[in-house]
Amino acid sequence: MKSLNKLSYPYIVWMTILVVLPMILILVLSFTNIDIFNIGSFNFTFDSFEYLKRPEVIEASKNSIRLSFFTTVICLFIGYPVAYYFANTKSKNKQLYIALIIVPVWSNMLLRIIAWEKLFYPNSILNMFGISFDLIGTDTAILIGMVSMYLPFMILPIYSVLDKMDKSLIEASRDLGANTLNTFLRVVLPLSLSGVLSGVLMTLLPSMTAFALPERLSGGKTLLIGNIIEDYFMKTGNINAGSLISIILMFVITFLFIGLLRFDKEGDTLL
Amino acid sequence: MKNNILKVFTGLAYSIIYFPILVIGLLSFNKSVKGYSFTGFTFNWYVEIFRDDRLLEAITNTLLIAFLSTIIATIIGTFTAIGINNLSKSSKFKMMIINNLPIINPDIVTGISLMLVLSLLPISFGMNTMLLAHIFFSIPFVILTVLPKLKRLDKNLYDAALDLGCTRLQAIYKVIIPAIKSSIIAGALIAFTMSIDDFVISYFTTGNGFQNVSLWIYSRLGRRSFNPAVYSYNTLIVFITITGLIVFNKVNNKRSLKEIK
Amino acid sequence: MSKIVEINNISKSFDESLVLDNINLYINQNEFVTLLGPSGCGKTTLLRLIGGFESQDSGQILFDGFPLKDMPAHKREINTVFQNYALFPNMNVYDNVAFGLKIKKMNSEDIKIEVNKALKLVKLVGYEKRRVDQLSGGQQQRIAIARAIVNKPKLLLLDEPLGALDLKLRQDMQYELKEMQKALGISFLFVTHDQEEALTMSDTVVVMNEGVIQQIGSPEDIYNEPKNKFTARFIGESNIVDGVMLKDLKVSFGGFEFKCVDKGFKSNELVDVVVRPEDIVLSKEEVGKITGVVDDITFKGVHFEIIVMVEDKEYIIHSTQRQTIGSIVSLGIGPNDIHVMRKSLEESK
Repeated sequence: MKSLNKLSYPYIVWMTILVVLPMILILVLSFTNIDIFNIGSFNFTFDSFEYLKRPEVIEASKNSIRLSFFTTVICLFIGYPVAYYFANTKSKNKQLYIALIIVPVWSNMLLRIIAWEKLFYPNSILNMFGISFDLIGTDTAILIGMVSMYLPFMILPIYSVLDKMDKSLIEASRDLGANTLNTFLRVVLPLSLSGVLSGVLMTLLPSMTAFALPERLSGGKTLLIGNIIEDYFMKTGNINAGSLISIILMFVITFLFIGLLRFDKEGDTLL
Repeated sequence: MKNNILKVFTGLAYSIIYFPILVIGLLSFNKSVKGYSFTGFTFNWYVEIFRDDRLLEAITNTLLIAFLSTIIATIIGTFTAIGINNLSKSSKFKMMIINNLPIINPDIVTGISLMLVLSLLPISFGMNTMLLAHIFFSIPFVILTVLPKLKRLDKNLYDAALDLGCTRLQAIYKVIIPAIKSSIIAGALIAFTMSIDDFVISYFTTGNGFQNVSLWIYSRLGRRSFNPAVYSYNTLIVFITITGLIVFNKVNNKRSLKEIK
Repeated sequence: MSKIVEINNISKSFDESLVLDNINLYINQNEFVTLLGPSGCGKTTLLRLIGGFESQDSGQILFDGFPLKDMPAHKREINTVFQNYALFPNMNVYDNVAFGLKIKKMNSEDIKIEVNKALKLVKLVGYEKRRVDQLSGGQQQRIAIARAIVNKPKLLLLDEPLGALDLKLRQDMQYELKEMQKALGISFLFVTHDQEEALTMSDTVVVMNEGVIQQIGSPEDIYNEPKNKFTARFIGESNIVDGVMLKDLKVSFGGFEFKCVDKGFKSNELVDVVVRPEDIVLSKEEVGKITGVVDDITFKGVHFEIIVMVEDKEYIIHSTQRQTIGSIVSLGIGPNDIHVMRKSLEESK
């Protein structure tokens, strides 16, 4: 029994090299002018912090927060009822319905983004149905795209919690005189909170840091924080500033994660 | 009545999720290369998949990486999960925090982290590095899927196997692994899904022109070399998956009917 | 009778807390031994040491005369019936029972015969193809037993195997287990926290508490002659009162002197006196006997449980005779029904 725990030891080494080590690297890069691809002499410096004041970085941060917030809210608004429906349907095809929510993930995300992009220009294949949109560059376009990409990640965790919930709890609540709304607010919702939190995290995080989606659906106009990082690392070669932004992002997300975990007394979130 | 509202929401969810996929399907039968209007019906793009060498290579690479990383990540993840399940409560908790880090970390940060570490190693970027990256981000999902099932197993199962004469290794592959088979398969499916669709992490960990489908698309966005055959590839994949699911569902329903009888 | 297992000075700690403290015990061939104690007393740990799933910090276990320490679980002629059974969920009944024999690479014809024999013994012939999760708790229990005994162990370890069964089934299984043990002619080491179970089935009962053996003896000895307060309390209900041993065969408690059968105490030694509730005879108020007031009475099916207050002390009495609450009664206790015990160490401090 005890000897089995040794099976986890190699993973500790693996994760140290691939998770902990790069975190340290990124931290070092943030506070130095070191060139990772050509390590020579270097100094500690706070130069990278200057970049945080740049208008494009500030703008991108605002965009990230606004768009990811609305994406999450919309996904929750649509996703919760869907998860509730799946958890309570008696259809024998229930498993199929749920699987069909996941299947789109097998379809290439970039292609799905391109598909939306093509529809949001005034000239699109929708013209043959007499419909025309001019949405490229608007928040609406990005929000539709994001909801379309990330909605499954909201539905699934909520569904799995609702599905496991003891259905007699609802009957018990009714039996004790609560109406449908009260039963939902006082029994179902609190018990499904851990699923909601997982769902919120799994929608919020990718939408906050997406970079291909905003690039395409805004026609390059709306940058998110992901675009900035990608730009600094891959295009302008400003690795130190890119590292600093990454580490800040990691901190923000870790705090969000820990904050949300506090609401989850059962410890079900991602565990 | 209330059920109808739920059904409306469910319909809305399916529509918004499937709409782009239908559009991709439509584009795969569209004569127009640019895809801004429907100029006529054609099967040409399905044939074209096999004519565009670069695209075909990207498809092969995607599937190769997906299969290899899934197999390797599933094996490592399963054994690690067995190990984690036998840790003391506090070490288990610490392990799960480390395990979840790559999951909550944005892809872009994971991609950059891997790029930085791999650039310190004396290996050139390309298939190896991308494969390693895919194994890396798949393992946590395998562990997350397998661990709950392990927790629910009778904790004496391994001891019972030893008691009946198994060696430690036999106890794992004759008893523990068959008992958690379904969640290992689920974990492998998630790993495969993550790998086949990955763009961001592949983007940061590839090199020397090694491309999967996502990278192939990204590098050709808005260019002439963007071949609509990729729509056909995507439509095929989705079609095969959905058909498979429906068949599986039918078989499953029949089987459960029989069990009731 | 020769010893099949001999346990010498075994100690074991988990995370610096001592779970087994210098345990000495032996099990004879063909003997039904029960480890009895409350949860956390170390009985399961002791069983797991013998089964080879844990190793001791110090001491030695001899099996058939050879040290067990470095012999891995799968090489010992010992098999275990686990708590909650630990049946392999992915295998049917036949494969579960045949598992150990398959591992030993016995040929499949012989396996068939042996599995059939084992299933016959547990009365589940015909269930071979069933999935284990389709069986009732009692049936799972029997499969777990069949899976263990098919390997012909010299010693069978049973870890609270009846805990998950309902009362009626548990009583049936107690009887069957005892029959099985006789039929097989092997030793059973049975772990339970249920004193009735222990007393019904065992040849020898080992009472444990906080990692220490309190008493080893036959069920009759354990019940009638508890060596200390813990055993007396744990085995059945009893009245334990403070007393003084005046001299051999003479003890004083409750303000009166009694004849008893105990000796070997210092004169005027402070002792615990145990009287079982069914050994007290109630009568009308009599001079020269302990006298008290009936405080409460509950019908328990076969007898009444009567609480009599004697000054500040509660006496529990089992009697078939009803009493009225508030009436004054006298308590009659014969010399054979008084058990005198030394005060346990911690109390005398």
